[in-house]
Amino acid sequence: MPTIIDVPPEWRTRLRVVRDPGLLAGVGAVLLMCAPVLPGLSRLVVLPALLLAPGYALLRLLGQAAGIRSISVAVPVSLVLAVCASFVLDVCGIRLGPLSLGLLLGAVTALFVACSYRRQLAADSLRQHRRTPSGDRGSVRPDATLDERR
Amino acid sequence: MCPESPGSTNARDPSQSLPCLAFSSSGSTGDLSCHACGRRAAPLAENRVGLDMRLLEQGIFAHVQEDSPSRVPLVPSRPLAELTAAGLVAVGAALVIWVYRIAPTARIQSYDPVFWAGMLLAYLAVAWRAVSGRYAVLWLGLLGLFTVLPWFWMSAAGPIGFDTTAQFALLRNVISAGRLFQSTPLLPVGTFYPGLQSAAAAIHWLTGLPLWDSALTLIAVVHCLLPVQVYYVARALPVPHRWAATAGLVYAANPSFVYFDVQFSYESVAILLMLTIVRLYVEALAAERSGGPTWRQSLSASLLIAVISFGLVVTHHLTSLAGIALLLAGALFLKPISGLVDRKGGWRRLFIRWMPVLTLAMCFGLWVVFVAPTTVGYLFPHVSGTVSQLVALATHSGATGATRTIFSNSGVPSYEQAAAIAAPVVIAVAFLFAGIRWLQKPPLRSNFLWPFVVTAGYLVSLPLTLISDGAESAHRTWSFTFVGIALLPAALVILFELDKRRPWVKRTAATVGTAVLAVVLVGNVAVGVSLDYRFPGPYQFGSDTLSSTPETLSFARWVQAHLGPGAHVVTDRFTAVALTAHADDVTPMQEPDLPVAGIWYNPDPPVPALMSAMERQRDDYLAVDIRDAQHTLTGADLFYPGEPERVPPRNITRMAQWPWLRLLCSSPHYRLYKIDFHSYFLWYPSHANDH
Repeated sequence: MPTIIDVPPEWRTRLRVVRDPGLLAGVGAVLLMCAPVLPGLSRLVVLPALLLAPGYALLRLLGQAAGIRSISVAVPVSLVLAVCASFVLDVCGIRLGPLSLGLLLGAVTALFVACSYRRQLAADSLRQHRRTPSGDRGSVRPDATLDERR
Repeated sequence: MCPESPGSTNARDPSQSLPCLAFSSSGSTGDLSCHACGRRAAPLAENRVGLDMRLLEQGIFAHVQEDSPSRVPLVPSRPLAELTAAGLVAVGAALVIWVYRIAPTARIQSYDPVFWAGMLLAYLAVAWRAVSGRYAVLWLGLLGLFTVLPWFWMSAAGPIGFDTTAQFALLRNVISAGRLFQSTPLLPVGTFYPGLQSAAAAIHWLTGLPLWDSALTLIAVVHCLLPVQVYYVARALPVPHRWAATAGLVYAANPSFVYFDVQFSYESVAILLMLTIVRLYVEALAAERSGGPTWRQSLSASLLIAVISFGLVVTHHLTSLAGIALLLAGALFLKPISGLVDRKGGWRRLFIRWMPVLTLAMCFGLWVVFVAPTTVGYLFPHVSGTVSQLVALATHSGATGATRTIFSNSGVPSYEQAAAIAAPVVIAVAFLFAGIRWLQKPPLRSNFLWPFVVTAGYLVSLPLTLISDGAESAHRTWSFTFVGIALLPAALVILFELDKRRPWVKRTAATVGTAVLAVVLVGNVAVGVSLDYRFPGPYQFGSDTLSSTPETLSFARWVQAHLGPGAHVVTDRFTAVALTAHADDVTPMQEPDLPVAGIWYNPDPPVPALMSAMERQRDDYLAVDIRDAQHTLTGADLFYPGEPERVPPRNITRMAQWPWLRLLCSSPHYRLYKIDFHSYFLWYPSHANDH
């Protein structure tokens, strides 16, 4: 049975992106921030970013992202986050517009994505820590070589 | 875990799985079977190997496949079947478009059957693939997209109808001011619910789409997801895949789905947020009772619901109330529950069960108290009017005019009227059968008490349609209560164990179900909105959509060109809609402190108090449609409920003789005057008693 290591190296990045939509949410954050400077019809690429990226990033941060099922939650959450961003700008007295809204929404999305990866890293290290038997943990010297640790 | 349970779709993320809880032992053999999907579980060892294989397969296909069907599909899931269904939907769309092209000049009897042929073709094609195939969510989304077609075709050029025009005026004001909380006289309460406008404005600003296209894009995206959310609500209960797909289809047959919830109006967006909250709530309850999630996961689910609750509250008042009611019903009637507070389930269950209800209720309460206190005054007359008419009917006192006859003067074809009467009867019968069986078969009850209670809400609202004040209120609740009705087919199948019957019984049930879906769809669309909101046609006095003619458009263009956007024009409701939509004017409506209707109805000239108020508001122009004195209204009011039947003709002609009105523009039916307030205050003392 083919596994992921059987594919050509140049495909791996693509597969990684497909398997990790968090990266797509990061791209969405960049698109949202760049929206005001995109020319003409090319700004339409921001539409899927606006409808999916903020919501998916928040779902990922909250640990609620679950494959394709998340899309139907990410869209309403993205809309709500767009509304919240408008509120924040309005309350702060900043005029609403492509620049202010795109920057705020993109920054919030990027923050959510970054925090979700940080949370994932923390969870992974904790899991790895728990897998190591407690007796072994104490017996390994801090300056031990890799072979010694094994 | 049952492979057909909701959790099986999510095997790559065990923390999100929702195990099937409907297993029970068959007794003698010790085998397990699932009540929800009717499938026997294999012995443990076989199950483990099979589960590993399935996890591997789902890991590969999870991105493209939806929940696996509960049984082997009736028709193999091949690309040919999917393409055939897509072709049928395309043919249905072509028929609908053709109808809308000929409708302006043809009689309804000639095109309405073709319209229904197209609609039913598309609905049944989607039903075929959603129920029998693997991609139920995609097909339900396509159905949502298909159903925006009729209304979008009617309003392709710009907003039509009262609500859409009012909301679009708010959106335009938000864009031009760069601030939220803008106002329009057409819908004063809309100022305090800027969720719709901020979402549409975000699409406009960030994608560069034209404003109206942004509004339509938002509605299209939102509408696609409505039946999808109902599908996931059903899956979380848990209901097997194909009956969850049926729930999505039945929801798409609710009276508001095809014409009302596709308008650019705050309910169209809010209802998606409400359904998402209900879905997350039911999923959180299901996950909690499985014992899977930790406190952290429960907190994050509640936080997500709180975020969407805020979005819902700032978008629409009535949908927020409906959301509170649905969550409250869920908290009380979704099992397992032991007493009102359910303490036996532990604090986490208590938290998951009640926190979303409290969050949404508190958000709404705080918003109404601190930001939108006018909401109470806006909603209360609908409730008090209905109650007072009910009391009057019950006590036989002053009930004249309280009752109404359904489809009076509507012009709806007879078969639509028959379907409209049959639909609630069919729903009531299904409810009765399912309810009786639910009482008889405790082991099969699952979570159907909640949809039964919501369905009962629909049935209770039906008699209100026969009261003039209660009709609109009842209509507005149906898009919410249909969440319960959508689950009735699943309840019938599971409670009567139709899945386990002989093939001919299944075939008969499928045929009857298809016929019932068609009847419910036709009947509900017929009662959902009036004909003038469904099809274009010739001029119709007193219609929000058909009172706009080429003359109206050229009048509006003249006004915009010569007065500029934002001019304050006092006029009747229908001219106001046209001038707001096409000239971007501000059109003050009848208010207690601004009784502008007196200019049309009172025999005396307008009093100085009114004119002073108009001068303060800079209402400098008066637009008159002389047809106000030629026709009698049958639908909406020109100015206020209970107004005289017709404007006296001499009240229109006298305006030409008032020296303080200067005629700016005249067309066959419209007159536009500039008000000279200084001249008026000089003129009035000597003409106060002129008749």
